[in-house]
Amino acid sequence: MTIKGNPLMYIGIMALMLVIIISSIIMKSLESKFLPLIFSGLVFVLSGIGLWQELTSGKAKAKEEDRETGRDGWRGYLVHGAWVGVFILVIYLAGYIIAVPLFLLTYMKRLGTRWLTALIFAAVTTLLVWGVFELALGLELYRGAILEWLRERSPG
Amino acid sequence: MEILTEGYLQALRNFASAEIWLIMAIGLLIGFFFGIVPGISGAVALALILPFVFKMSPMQALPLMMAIMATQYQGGSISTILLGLPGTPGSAATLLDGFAMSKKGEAGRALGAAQMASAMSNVITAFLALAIIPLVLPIAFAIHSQEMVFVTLLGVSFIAVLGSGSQLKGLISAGIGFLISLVGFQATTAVPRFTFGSLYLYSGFSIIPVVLGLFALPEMVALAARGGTISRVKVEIKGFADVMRGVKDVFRHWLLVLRSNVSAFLLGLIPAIGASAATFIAYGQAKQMSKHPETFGQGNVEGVIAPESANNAVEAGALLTTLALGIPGSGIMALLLGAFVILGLVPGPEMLTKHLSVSLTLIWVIGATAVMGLVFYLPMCTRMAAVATTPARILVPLVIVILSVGSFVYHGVFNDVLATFTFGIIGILMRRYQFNRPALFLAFVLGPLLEKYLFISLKLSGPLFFLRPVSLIIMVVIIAAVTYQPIVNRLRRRKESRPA
Repeated sequence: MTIKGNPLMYIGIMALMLVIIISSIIMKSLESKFLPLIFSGLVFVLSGIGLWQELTSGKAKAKEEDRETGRDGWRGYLVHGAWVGVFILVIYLAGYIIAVPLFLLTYMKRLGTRWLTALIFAAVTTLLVWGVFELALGLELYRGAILEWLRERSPG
Repeated sequence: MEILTEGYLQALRNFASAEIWLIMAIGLLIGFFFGIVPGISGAVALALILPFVFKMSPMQALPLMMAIMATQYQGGSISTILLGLPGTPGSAATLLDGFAMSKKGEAGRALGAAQMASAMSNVITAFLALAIIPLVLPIAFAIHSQEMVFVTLLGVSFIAVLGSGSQLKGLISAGIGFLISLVGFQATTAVPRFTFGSLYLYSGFSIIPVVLGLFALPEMVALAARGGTISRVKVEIKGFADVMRGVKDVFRHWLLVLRSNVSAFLLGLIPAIGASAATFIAYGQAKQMSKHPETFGQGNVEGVIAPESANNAVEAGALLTTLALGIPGSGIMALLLGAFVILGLVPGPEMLTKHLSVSLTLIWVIGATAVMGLVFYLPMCTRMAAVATTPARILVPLVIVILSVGSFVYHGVFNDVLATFTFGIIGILMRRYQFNRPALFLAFVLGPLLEKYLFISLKLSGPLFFLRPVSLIIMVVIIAAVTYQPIVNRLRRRKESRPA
């Protein structure tokens, strides 16, 4: 029997709650561990009930679940989630001013926008982000780890 | 009485400033845009705006959010009527007759009726809320730290149990929300909890990454995964005279507006009823009392007026419960509560005592924004459908950029962006498996308050602090709310399995 969908979620939550219960027990003061123990214990028990209900509620529900969260359904989420993940990685490395136009240009193209439209949106949005936050509000946007590293290495 | 008079006067003074009108106009545009685009509701709009309001004063930030909230349904009705796609869940009941009217060639009339009913309803509910506050005030004064422990639990349990989806999943979501709120230093002992040695986690997660990750990111990823254009329907609209016909219909059915409005407002006072349920109830009532119930669903204007009068009223009712008791009636109200915390206001009775003028100003904003919305959008509503056809390929990348910048600027720390992404993954999982995101968020916001009030109560009254009349009543209500549905289900199953 393969476990997926809701039962897998419940098992994941129960495992997480076990970790929280163990790390709460070893906390020093009662005040610190009181609420974590209560809530993690409660969530553990409720997830156990949920898991039991899922496993005993018959095949029809499982089939419906399979259709809902099947591989095809997840593929879109994974692909677009990965795009966001890569965008955040580029922000971390190169900062907003480089990551924003790069992301807009490539992601809009990936979603089916024409090059020219994507280029215009990328340029205008980057200018707006820079203008509003750096110029108007005086906030320094994240410059990226590479620039930070270069700054540290440059003499003076 | 003196507090009340001073509160009303101060609210009027606040309302007289040009700044507040400018803020309302901005909120109007944002709310309308997010309302009209199907798939991204007012909750997403409020989530996206939160990172940008933390530097504002409460009198700037809260009216902005209130204006967004108040106009989202006016926008939502346009895409519902013209495209057959509800812009917000609260516009779903309008679909039945609104879209049918469009297909009959009466789109302008339906739009006029929806806009006028929405605006009229907002004005009526504002007056209703202002009238009801003096009655609620004594309750607010009767609530102390000992009661606040249970009021906090009541709010979370209501939204967990009565919200959409499975009750069990709602309670699990709330429990996880409380646990997330416990990350960081414990207030009374300064012992770090679940920080894993990370300096970033010592002060706990801030609201912005949680709200953006849970509400905005999953919607965008889902919209991108679905792909294509949001709308494929094209409806022909006649001239402005048709729109005015709808406006006149509202005045002809003023009693229907009033009835739908008052009943939805009262329903909104009960936490977690939600706009969707209230609008369908109003629709049902209208059908029952109509002279032509057989035409409902085929394009009867009463079927547009009733839900459009109700969807605004239910949010106004929920606002009052949020302000008076800190119990948010809906997901949007949970986000508003998050805004209170960011702006340094304690949600709950203090909003009707210490910050009464702020609360009253917010109620005025609801009424005024609706009238502004009517003046701005009635002449243009027939052309507004174009906004709803904004393709996902343009909208999604832009919103992802806004939310990434928004999550950074709050503290200026890159870890907040990582936290947003992490909560985004949690949000996607919760969305896919239908866990209750508002319950998790509300528990996260109220968690620190619960812990604070719990230890204050223990210090003041000892371990039996709950033996007070109001606390006991609230405890009974919580137990009833949590156990009612499982007991009913069990009885029903037993009845079904019994041989006939």
